[in-house]
Amino acid sequence: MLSRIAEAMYWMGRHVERADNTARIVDTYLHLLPTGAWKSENQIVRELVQSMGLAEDTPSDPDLLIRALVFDGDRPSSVAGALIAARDNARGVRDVVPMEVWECLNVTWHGLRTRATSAAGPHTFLRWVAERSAMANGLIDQNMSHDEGWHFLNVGRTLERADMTIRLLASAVLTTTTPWRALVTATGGFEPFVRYHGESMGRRSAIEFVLLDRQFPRSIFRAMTAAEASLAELESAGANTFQDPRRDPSSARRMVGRARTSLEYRSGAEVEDELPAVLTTLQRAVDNAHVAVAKSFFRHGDTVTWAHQTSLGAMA
Amino acid sequence: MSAQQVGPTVPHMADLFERYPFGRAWDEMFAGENDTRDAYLTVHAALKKLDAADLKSRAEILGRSFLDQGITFALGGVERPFPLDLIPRIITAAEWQAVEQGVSQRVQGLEACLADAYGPGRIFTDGVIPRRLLTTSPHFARQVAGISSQDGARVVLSGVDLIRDETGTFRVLEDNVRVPSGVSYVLENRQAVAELMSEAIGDQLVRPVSDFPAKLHAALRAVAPWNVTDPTVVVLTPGVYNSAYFEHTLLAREMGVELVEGRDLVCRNNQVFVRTTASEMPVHVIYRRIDDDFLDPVQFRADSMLGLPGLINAARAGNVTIANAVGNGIADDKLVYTYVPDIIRYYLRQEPILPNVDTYRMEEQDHREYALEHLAELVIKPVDGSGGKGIVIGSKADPKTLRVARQAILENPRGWIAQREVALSTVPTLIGDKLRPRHVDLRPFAVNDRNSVWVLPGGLTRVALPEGELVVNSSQGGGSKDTWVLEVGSQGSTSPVKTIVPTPSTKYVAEPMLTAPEPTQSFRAQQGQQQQQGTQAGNPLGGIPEEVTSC
Repeated sequence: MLSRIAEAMYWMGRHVERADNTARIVDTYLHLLPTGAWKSENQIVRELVQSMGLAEDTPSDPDLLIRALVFDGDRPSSVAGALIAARDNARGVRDVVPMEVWECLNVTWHGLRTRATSAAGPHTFLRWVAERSAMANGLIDQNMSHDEGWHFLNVGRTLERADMTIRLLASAVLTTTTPWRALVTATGGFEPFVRYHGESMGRRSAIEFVLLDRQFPRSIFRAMTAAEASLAELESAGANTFQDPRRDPSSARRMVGRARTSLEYRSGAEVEDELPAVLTTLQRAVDNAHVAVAKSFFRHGDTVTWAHQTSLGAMA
Repeated sequence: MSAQQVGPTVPHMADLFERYPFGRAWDEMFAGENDTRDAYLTVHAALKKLDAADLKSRAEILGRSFLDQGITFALGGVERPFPLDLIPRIITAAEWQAVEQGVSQRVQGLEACLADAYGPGRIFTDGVIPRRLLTTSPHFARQVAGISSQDGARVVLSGVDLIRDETGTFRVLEDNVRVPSGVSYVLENRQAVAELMSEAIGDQLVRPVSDFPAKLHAALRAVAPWNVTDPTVVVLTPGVYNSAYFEHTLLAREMGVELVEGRDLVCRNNQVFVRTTASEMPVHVIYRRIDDDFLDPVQFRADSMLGLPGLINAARAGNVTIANAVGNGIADDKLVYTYVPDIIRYYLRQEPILPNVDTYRMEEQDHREYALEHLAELVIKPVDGSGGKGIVIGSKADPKTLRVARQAILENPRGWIAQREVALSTVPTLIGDKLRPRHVDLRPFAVNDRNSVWVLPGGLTRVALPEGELVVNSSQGGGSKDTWVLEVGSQGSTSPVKTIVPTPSTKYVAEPMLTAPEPTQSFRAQQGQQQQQGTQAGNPLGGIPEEVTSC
């Protein structure tokens, strides 16, 4: 498959996931917190945003903050910005993704203009984003052949999911006033948590669930497992033709696999003791995996500039 | 065309067709008041049952769905749905016969001319067209002179623009053998009209257009370098910001080939490769949608970021086929256009099936003098213009515009032609709440696989939406229509379709041809020198004339 296409697929997966995760996190922290003064909630959101690195400059005005996080199409980390980027990538791969996937992202993009300016408020918009991302992901999984391109998309999607969840968790651990319920809800896992662990939720059980749960598809462990599986497929697809030692198709898989293993064979108690170190290692593994994927699969030609040769170039 | 009575006027019908005006132009649906042409009876009957609100709501659904699917073109940086009018334009089997054979003949003539012009240049030696015509054309590419591996297959996809004059005769308006666009809209228009106006099709047999991608793919594979058994075809696009990007993706997707940009390709040792995640894969045929100037920075514009350095040399080495070939633009030159009937007579020994529009060459003194006298009755066009740019319609221009045009002609006679103002045929089109006649043209698409020319039954019918407007172009507020070619034996095609046998032309034949011995003939066929003529019926002489005395 073309390198450019692979890269666009990867980023398409990442951006849809980023929009989805950001929407869920903002929605949770804005609206589902226990009732309290707007100011303190706003404070929590701001701290969250800062520690997650979602926005570099965070406006003090709450409305402006929401606008920056949700509606500002010029920021690639905002919900709208991620959806625009996803559509731009999809546009470059229109000939390889199914028509429905492209149409879904294109319709979402057209909807941004009207939705973002409507008076319905961020909650309605964020719910709509969640629906559209769910639809895009469903079409990607159900209508698309799970070929090389799909695996690139899936690697992007799962690495982004792991990355966002790690940031979210790291930020929650740092803050003293963390509402644990909000943390679990922001990953979309409140109901599964309650079903298996009961309603009492504390620091330890919340962290364990988000980091290590074996069944919940948005836990960091599951995201890493899924990324590793797709990277393994990509490695074997490239194995026959692999020649260039600088482009080792197995490097990304090794990084993700090592990180995944270190989670798999740790107990919840062990993890809690070493939490900051564990999170730092994970974060680094995800970053390195991204660099490795780009290096081994996304080829770029060197930029060549041609000098103007007037004697040859000009025609009568 | 028969004169069947439409029947008593139904109120609904009165709504849509109320006070439908008739003018000088040939109307494709009506031969006169209450006189619907046979081919349109079913459509007309279906329209009688609809009112303006029905049609408008369907048009809205259509616009929405085109926007959602991204079937758009960029106008001033804004994406707009490609405007499609739901009322189809219908061509009967007998009419189509002339179009099909005429277009095919024209493509073969131009193929022979291009091969000759970049090769031996016999047509100049024989004085049929002047050599300076070629060398002064801005699209003449000296860089590809002498490349003969693509002879007979330089024009893989062409779009010859036709119009219908006041008597209903199809005439050629211009040739597009560089990078004709619009074929994707033919496919999408059919899909949309079939979904939204199914009752208008009724029980008519409309010839399908869906074969097109397969035909194009087969032709592209057929013109691959001769020593490749399983050629890899790619579509080369300038990128997502090109206004025709939608078409590029559609063609790549439907042909099942990769859509590449210049930066995906690499050229090494005169061999073209595409960068993939695994390695570099060889490419054999490039269906390019980039203009010549941007194709290879080594040969053409050095600042091009879209092309591939070294591509022309790879083509010269015979390792890759560029379709359509570089340098085809000389055949699109509107001054060369005036010579096409003679080109057909010269190479094919046939009379042209499709006539040109009467055209005056501004560089010939008597033509120029006549035209300058009658400027207000003529249409003045730049020879290398496209998209309707720079056209002056004399009857509608103010004196100042005419003065400017006159000055431009006198300064650069080679740069202009003048044509008789033809009232293009009209088809009813939804304007506001009424159906109104609007001028249309037709761009049939022809696929040439070196052995034969296949013409897509249908083509792009473009509509000039402003009242009385004669320039039909999507970049000038034009719309489009689905074009139906009826099968033999359907309504309106009751008269049997006769195969048109082109009249042999004797204009350029004065003495017997050299009779080449057999082996030479087949050797030549392999060289791709003249398949265009050699095996075609109706051309007993075959081949490019070795010796011709000029007339």
